[in-house]
Amino acid sequence: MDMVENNMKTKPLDKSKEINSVPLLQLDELSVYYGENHAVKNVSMPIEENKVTAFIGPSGCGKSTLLRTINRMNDQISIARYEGNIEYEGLNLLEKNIDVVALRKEIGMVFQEPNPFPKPIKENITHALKFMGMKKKDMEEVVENSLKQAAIWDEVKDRLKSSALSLSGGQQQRLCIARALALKPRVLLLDEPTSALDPISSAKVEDLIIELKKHYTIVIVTHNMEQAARISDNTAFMYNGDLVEFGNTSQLFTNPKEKRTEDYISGKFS
Amino acid sequence: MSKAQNNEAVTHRLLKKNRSSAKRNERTGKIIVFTSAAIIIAATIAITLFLGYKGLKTFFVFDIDIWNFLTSTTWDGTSESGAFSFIFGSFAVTFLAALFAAPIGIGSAIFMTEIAKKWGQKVLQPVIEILVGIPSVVYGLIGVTVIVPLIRNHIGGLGFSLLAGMIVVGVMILPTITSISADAIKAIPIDIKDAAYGLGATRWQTIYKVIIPAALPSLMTAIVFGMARAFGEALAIQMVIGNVKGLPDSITDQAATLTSIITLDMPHTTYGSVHNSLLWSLGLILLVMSYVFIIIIRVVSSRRKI
Repeated sequence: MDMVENNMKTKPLDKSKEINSVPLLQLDELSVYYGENHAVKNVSMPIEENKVTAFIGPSGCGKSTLLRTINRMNDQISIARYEGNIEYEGLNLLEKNIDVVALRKEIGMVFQEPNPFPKPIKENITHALKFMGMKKKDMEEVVENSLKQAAIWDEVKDRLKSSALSLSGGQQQRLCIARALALKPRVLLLDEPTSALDPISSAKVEDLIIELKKHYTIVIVTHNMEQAARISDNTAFMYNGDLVEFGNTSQLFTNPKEKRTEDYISGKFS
Repeated sequence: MSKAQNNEAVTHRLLKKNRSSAKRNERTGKIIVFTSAAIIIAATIAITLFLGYKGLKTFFVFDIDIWNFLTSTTWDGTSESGAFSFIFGSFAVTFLAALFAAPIGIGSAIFMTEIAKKWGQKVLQPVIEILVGIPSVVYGLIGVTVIVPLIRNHIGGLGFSLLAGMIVVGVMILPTITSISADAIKAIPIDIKDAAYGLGATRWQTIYKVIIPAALPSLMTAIVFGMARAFGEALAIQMVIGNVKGLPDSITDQAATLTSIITLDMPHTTYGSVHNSLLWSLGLILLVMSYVFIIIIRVVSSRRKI
């Protein structure tokens, strides 16, 4: 007992976080309704810090809805309604008094279709910073850093002034990731970020995600089970709004506890 | 054997058949569509040629100096007449009306598409349709009985003025600007709005920094469409602007436009006279301007995105 405590004291602060497994986000009895439609049903699961958590499941199972609930993007839909808790640093993110604008800067999002602004590459990043109220002179460094972090700097550094729409789909998606990173979020939510991309671009985005988890907590929705197996630490399998199984990715894929999980990952239904 | 039969069936299905009835049907349809298109094109060309012939007569038959016609501000029906005050009046009313209507039109378009979608659809949309449907003489009447006395009593002058014209025409082009702007804003992909909200933009930041810039070419088109309508408006403007033949000194001064002078003077001129021909020339200016507006709209809307 004493030894453990001593160990913890000698280690730097961020390492100690890896040891204790208190999750960064804790979903608790979370339900989402669209009008009468119960889209996500009583989901409880942890999202661990600096890990990649994947949501898998067939189309319409509620995985994207669940993801969009975490940073309250569903607030844009007037008929959406929540029950339950998403605990984050002692707060319930679903409370009315949460400032969703500030929340989305802390929990960033990248969407299925690359959606750069129809503006020059650089302005895509500075635009995001303007939302934050950053001054122009501080932006240069952030632009370069976030583009480097998103592994796209070398490809675009000579043409920062050309349109973001002139980039390939994969480059656009990495630009969108860079744009989200520029706001220095703690969590990055990725909604099927590679489904609109070719295999080579997808591979680059996957490599990037693995790289990014050193600094960020990542939650990814994916249709692609191989992708979930390749890049995630934990996986949640959802079906019809229910969380069927949650667990360590390698365990879930090799030795699923639930019959439905096994059927899904072995391709019996999709 | 069966394969040969199969091939024959495929051949029968896929090769063009020489069926005369189908061909005839096809031809009838083509004729109807081509004729319709030809009529529209012919009408446009005919109007242009006719106005061109009538309007240019002033300069080639009556030998009036074209520069003098465009710059002189005297208008007495003689060969010394010039149209500058009306050209100025038309442009003044058009730009002032656009200045009045563009912010309100774009503002309400944003309101009904981004802020209160349900209310916008249920209340604002019908209101706009009603505004479009009101005949211009009604706008003129309201202008004369409400706006003109209001200006006379509270601002000064006779009330009949550029300002009255600006307000009346501004309200008339408001629905044009609003509905084209609303369509433009609705056409902005939801992806881009998601991107902004997902980056923690407030609603106002999303509207101001993302939606308006992305819709800007279409919004410009909406304004130019409204201006084209303002430029051609005759009846309502004639009722409120005062129709004084000279340059206005201020916004509360009386003025005249190309359209108001044509409708006012035309009944008093003899066919074939200099005065009559001068009015045709005013009409030609209107036509040329409407072409200019169309070209502006084309150029602006072809510059979508970056």
